[in-house]
Amino acid sequence: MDFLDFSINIILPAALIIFVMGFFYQVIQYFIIPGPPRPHAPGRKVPLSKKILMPFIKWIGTFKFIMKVNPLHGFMAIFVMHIPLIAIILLFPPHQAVIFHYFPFLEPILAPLAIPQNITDAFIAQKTIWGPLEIILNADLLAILIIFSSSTVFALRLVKHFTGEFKSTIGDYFALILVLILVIFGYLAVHAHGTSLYEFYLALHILTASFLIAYIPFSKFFHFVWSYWLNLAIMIYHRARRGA
Amino acid sequence: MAKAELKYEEKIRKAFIKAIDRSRLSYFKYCMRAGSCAYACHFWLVDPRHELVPGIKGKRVEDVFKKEFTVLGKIKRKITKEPLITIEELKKWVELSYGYCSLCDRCMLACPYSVEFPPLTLYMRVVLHEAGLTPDSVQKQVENELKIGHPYGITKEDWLRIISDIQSKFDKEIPVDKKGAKYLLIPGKRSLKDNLNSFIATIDILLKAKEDFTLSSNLWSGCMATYDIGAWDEMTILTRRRTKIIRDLEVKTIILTNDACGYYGWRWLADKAIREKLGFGVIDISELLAEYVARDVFKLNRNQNDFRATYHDPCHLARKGGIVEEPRKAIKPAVRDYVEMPHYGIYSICCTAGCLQVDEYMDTRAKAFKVKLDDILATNANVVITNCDECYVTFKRMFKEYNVKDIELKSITEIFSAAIS
Ligand code: SF4
Repeated sequence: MDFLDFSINIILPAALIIFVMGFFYQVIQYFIIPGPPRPHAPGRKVPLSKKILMPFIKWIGTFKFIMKVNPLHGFMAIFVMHIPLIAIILLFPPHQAVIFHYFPFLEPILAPLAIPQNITDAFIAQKTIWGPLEIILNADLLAILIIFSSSTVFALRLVKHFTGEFKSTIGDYFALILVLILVIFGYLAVHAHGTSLYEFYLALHILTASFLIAYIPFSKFFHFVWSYWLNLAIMIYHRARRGA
Repeated sequence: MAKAELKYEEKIRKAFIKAIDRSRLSYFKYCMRAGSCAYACHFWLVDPRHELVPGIKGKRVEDVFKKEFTVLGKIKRKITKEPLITIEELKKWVELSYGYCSLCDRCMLACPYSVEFPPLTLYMRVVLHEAGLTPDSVQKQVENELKIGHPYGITKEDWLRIISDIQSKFDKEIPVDKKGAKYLLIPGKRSLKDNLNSFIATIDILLKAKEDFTLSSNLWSGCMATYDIGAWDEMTILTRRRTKIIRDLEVKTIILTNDACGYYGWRWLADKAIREKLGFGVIDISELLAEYVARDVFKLNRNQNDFRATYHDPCHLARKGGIVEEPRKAIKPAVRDYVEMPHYGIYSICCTAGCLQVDEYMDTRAKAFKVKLDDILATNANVVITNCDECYVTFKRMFKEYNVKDIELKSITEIFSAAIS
């Protein structure tokens, strides 16, 4: 068994098993700890439209606030890191192949949204639903954006550390480095296609991805699969009750 | 470990267990340390230090949590034999949670992870209360509440005298202990001591509206600051005691006037504290005023309030309580010129009290007030209207500190009552 086979057939499934176990560990722990007391009072009487709209207004308001007070960090973290990261994970066809292997039910939803590898591909070979948006929505550019933004966020955290304003933890830096390495190996693998280095880079990419997958439930990355959505649901509940 | 230390540690552990519920895991496990919360906190904005970032204050609680509630933490503690928390750390918590936090919840608005729970400084306060380390000026409020029935020591005799003094200003009789009235009016905890005019104005409005209301001779404070002090057992005792008085009067709804934390506590916490339905409604006075405006109950004369006014949203009323539009509906038709502050509504900046004057930390709070003051000055308003007498008193104190002489303070009920006459 070579390095690539080992990464794909042993490490990746093992990482997925750890991920699933970790996921249930966290979720079970969440439900074992008693919840806050249940409210007995009804919510405020406000128009239904307001109840529905309020959480979204608050959600958008938060991002507006971040862009106003901390524009560079906010823009880099939200728009240049998170959104491209989500897009490349879910929409780049080689990633989709892995996702559909484990979660076939996602294929009809995600497959039509696939993005091309690069702009040349977009114009010459593939026809995706994205049309002119392919200029941005292509894996090459997204990868470069992620590398650029995670490096910038890393640097911004360092600057704040030295000014004493805000000191990130080792875990915060580690998470960024992990994303950075993962994307760099992925980019190198794609661009080494057809060369002798291709398999080596791809194996490193899969190894890093496997580590990340196994690490998710035990780190801040868990927000991506659980806590962010949970917080969002709780926020919607409270805001709808209060109507403001 | 000495026996006394063990007992102390057990107390802290119990306080922790009391304070922790699963919603807290959002911080303990998944705070991304994005740092956005810092930009929302008036204490950090005037003193941008790492330890004052709201999320970092929370991390100190998280560290204790991990020692007690995670397998790895427990093993590490067994090996290193370190205490759950040191007394030095607890003293730091006093400083951070009372000196550098007013529990305004503004940091929650800036959290990109949509965290919607009180900041962890509240849980510091719960632990501090259990450890007997609550600042004296604050602890005194809890004791006064339990013994006298009012956080600032207003006795029943004082209250009855105040009622009769107020009565002498009106021709119509002010109902007291009237059973089955539609509304029970509860004075703001600060009003009786520092801004009686706001309370008199409320009564004036209710009398003019021919409202079916009553005062209670047994209830002259709806203060819920015990929640923010972390004195949760005391809060339950007081809520039970007061709920009984209200239920005995068989009123339909209680009105909190110029008391933001009272409103917040009764509207959103009281039922949880006693773990049952209250059996009566809870409204803030501005909700009733907005209703009067909508129903055209009064002809309001703006000329009676011939100035440029701005409104300060008390945190407990707007951000935490959901009362944002009603005060505006009541104020706008009652003043000549109304202008919003750059940060208003749920984004309003705290007056630095957070429903509590903490005498021991007036310096840090005065420094943080600069953020609010800039917001007020940006409006060029001559009058700041408040809907909470705790905010009113804080503004008064802070205006003096900053030598602000050309801005007047008025309560929402004073403005409204003036516009009626
Ligand atoms: S609750 Fe208010 S004062 Fe306290 S940390 Fe958050 S923003 Fe700062």
